[in-house]
Amino acid sequence: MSKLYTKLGESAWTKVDKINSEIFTLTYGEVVNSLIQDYETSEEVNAQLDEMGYSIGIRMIDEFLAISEVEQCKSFRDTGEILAKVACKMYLGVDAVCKYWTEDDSAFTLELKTNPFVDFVELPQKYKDLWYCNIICGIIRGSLDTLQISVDVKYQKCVLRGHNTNEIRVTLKSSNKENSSKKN
Amino acid sequence: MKIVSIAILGKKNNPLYVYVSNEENKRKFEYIIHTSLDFFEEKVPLISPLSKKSTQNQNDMYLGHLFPTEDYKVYGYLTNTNYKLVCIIDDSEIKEQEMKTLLNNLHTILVDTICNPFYITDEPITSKTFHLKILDLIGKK
Repeated sequence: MSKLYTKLGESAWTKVDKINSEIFTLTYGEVVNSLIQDYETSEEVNAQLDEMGYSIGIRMIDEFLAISEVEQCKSFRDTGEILAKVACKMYLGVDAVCKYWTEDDSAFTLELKTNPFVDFVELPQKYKDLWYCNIICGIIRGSLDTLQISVDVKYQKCVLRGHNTNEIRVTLKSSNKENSSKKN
Repeated sequence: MKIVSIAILGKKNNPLYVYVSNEENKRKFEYIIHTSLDFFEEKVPLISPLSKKSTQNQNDMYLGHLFPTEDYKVYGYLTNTNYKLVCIIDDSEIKEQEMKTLLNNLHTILVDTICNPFYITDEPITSKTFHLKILDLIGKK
């Protein structure tokens, strides 16, 4: 199943338009800078980034389903795999993995070894509580929400904070499984 | 070949970063760097807007040997955005190409740091990563 998703991810990656990574990174950097000037504290900026991501996610999910042609997921586990192998590949060009599943498959950690958002970036001391890429958490939350899957998404580790990898924890809150988790 | 000092100066000739291999001589090197500023202006090639030289390339930024002092040689590099890179070495034998490569790499490291959205332009560079990269660059030589 995993191989299928990897293949889908790669074919989706070839189908989409690409953009120069520097313009993307620099633009995102300015977005974060601008938010910091408006909101000043790291917690508020984190919350704003999450909201922005949510707004992006609810729109992105339709495009994703159309381009990637994934089938309906049978379980949250499939959801996680598709998120890692197809969505991350398609939108960020990175190969992510799902790890640390709980016993009942209700939560997992998404690990991204590389992240195009953080090229060149160094977090200054006064913003050490900032989750720079929190927008990704919002995007995941927004897309899954549109599919009636309610999740809690939080950043666990970030390379900008000195960790060696990026980790996002996704926890299932509830889902209308009768409608069947068409996953993002 | 020992690199004794490296400095990066901004558009208004303000020092953004100074590295010295020997802390005791820091004043002396800062003085030498300051003196080199005049030479930057002298050495900037006069480019006529009408000339269509196809030889113009990236290494127009490399100004070469600026001036000799008692024990040291000073090399300069001026970027298109008016950042001045100064390198002071104490050996007498160095190939032009090596110095060009060194200053090119220094330019690349500088550009990476400037791209950091949290770096405020024209402020002194305090980034640890930058410092480590410089040490790495010197270490290689």
